[in-house]
Amino acid sequence: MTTPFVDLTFLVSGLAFILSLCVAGAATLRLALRGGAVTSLMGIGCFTTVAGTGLYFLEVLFHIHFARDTAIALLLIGAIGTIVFARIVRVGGGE
Amino acid sequence: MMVPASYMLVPIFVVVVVALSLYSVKRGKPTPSPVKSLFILIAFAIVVTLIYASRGLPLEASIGAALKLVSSAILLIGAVFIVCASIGLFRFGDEWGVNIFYVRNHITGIIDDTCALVMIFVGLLIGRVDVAAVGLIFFALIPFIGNALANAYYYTKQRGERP
Repeated sequence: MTTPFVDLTFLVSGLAFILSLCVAGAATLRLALRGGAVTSLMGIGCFTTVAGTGLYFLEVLFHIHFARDTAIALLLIGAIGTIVFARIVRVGGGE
Repeated sequence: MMVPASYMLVPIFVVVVVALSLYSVKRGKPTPSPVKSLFILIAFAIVVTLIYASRGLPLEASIGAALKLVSSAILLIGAVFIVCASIGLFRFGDEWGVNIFYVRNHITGIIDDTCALVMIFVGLLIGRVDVAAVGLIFFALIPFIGNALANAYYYTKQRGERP
């Protein structure tokens, strides 16, 4: 049990955090679209992080349960996929 | 009075962080500013708890309200860090040379770290252990991502250019 003021403060702070994640998502998408192979991989890897965190906080703020499952998949599989594809690029001599 | 089990993680975490901070001060290392911010947040939580308790709210609800306010402050601080890092990503273009890749790698690492730390702290403070667990697992994966990307860039782009 908390007060309405505390709930409103948490909601506004969470929305501000999600807004900042939108700015970071735009920056990482720009990085992914303008760079080479490894730079694009870095941008996409960071974008999955940003999208996963935003979806997780959507679940925390608004209790949308399917957003949590998507967020966990994005965070874990995105991170592992970035590592695997970086190894593939290194071995294959891409870029 | 029964205390929720997830709230017991917060005092343990605070005790560990304060002990590590005092140990670093004792060894003469400079105290980083996040540690000072942590002390400020703890004092803020105590003051808010006292205010709500003096207004007649039960002690457990007062502690919950204070922890939620502190988590709001952490969300706002994380938002500021992420916006600053995003401005850096926008500003450093290709005109800065080949090695700008490592700067971008550092900046994306900062964004990843901030997201993971905010998930850990907020999850612990509002009693959502699943948020903190996912953040902790992701926090453990972040160094491997940065290392793999830098390794791939070095071996594909820069190794042949060295004398």
